[in-house]
Amino acid sequence: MHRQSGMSAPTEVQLARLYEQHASFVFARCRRILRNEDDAWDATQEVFARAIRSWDGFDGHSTRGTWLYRIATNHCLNVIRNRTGRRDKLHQRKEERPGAGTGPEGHGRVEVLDIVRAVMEDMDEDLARLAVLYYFEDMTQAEIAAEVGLSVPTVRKRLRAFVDEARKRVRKGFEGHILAAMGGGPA
Amino acid sequence: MSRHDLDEDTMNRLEQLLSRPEPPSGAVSPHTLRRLAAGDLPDAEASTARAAVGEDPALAAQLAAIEAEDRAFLEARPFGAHKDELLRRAEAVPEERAPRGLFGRWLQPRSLGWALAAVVTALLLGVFLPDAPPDGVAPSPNRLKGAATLSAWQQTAGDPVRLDSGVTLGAGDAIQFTVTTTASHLALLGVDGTGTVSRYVPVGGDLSMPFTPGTNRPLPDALVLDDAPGPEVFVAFLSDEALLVEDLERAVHDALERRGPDALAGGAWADGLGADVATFVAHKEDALR
Repeated sequence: MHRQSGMSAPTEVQLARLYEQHASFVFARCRRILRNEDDAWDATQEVFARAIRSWDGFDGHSTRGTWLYRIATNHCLNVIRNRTGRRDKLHQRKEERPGAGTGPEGHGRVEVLDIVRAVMEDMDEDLARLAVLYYFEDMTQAEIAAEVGLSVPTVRKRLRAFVDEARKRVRKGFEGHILAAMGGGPA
Repeated sequence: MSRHDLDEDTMNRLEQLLSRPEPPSGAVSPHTLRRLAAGDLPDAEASTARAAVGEDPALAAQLAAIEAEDRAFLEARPFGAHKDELLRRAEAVPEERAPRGLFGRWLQPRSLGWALAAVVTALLLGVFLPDAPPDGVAPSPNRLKGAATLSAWQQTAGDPVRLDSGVTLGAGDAIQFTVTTTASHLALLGVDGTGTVSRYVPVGGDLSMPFTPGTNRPLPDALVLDDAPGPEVFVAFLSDEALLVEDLERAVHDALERRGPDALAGGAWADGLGADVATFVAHKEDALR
């Protein structure tokens, strides 16, 4: 396997522009996925570090922002997968998330997203990526297709596969995680 | 609330989320508003989005909220205060962990387990064609459907030598494939003399691999033939978007079942896949004895 060497880095002006244009977006995406301000800020810095490191890996087939957002999604998925102790983590999220339990609508929304997150943790990475964009980012299928480089029918097909798998997992094996996510009920 | 009620209530909300409808075509989504605020939309899309925002107070309010959030973020975390930390972190990112695009992980060698588990031929090596073969080579004849061509090269004492499809090779021979294509995604399958279908590219994942279009672009790895019965038919699928490899494998299986192995040398079986198809045939010395 041959690796590219002599990679170039952005100038300070380029980096400043990238940051000022997109850092808030990246942070918001990381926060929606990770559900934690500190983790989101750490992830945002890591995303920019990786963007600097792979600056000339940008192929121009998308906007620089879309390229950066893809890095953010992939990094956050890795963060989720690297976290240990799903049950402990769900309890932790319950304690950390702002506004948890303050209203019926927000409460329900957070809970089911926690379940989706738990379901996708050890799922096929590509399915999980599409699920993140669809359910956490509220992107349309067309937007997802543009961001990940697939056709809309393929995105639709893959999301259906995710939903089928999610339903199966929730019904068969995630009752304990659901309860843990809710922070109540017998384990 | 009982456990039963809790589960049912949760399941209902989960179903609502999983089944959420797509917004009407042309609607400005939250993602579009965020990209508009970030200045990331192409001009035409930005104009359309701005026009929609101008006609819808709710969208205008959402955009204003996003812009306010952006300003607050930069005030709290200005670039100048974090530039050094970003550069320090960038230095600490191992080169092999640097992102290479959405599907970049598939460009990495995953394991030899896959190759050994496959009945067929390959061990992954980083061998002899560090760059494309010599410029000016003639187009390969190994073109079936569409504009893509698949060529095989063998290392010699001098320059790599291009092999003709139908060549006879022995176990242990290493070949490097190159592809000439305008497409941006690649999958490479192989079918041996027993009809076993093996996946060579992508090494992992279930979508065809991003591939840089060009003339005689080398695949990431060379292949080493083993002693599986020949002939081995290598089939390259080139497309403008990523394809599910299982769909390609199914098409190859169907072609084998309905038309026989010789059919792979023609292109009709691949109609409807949305890919250009090119093949290369390697006979095995053992099979001739």
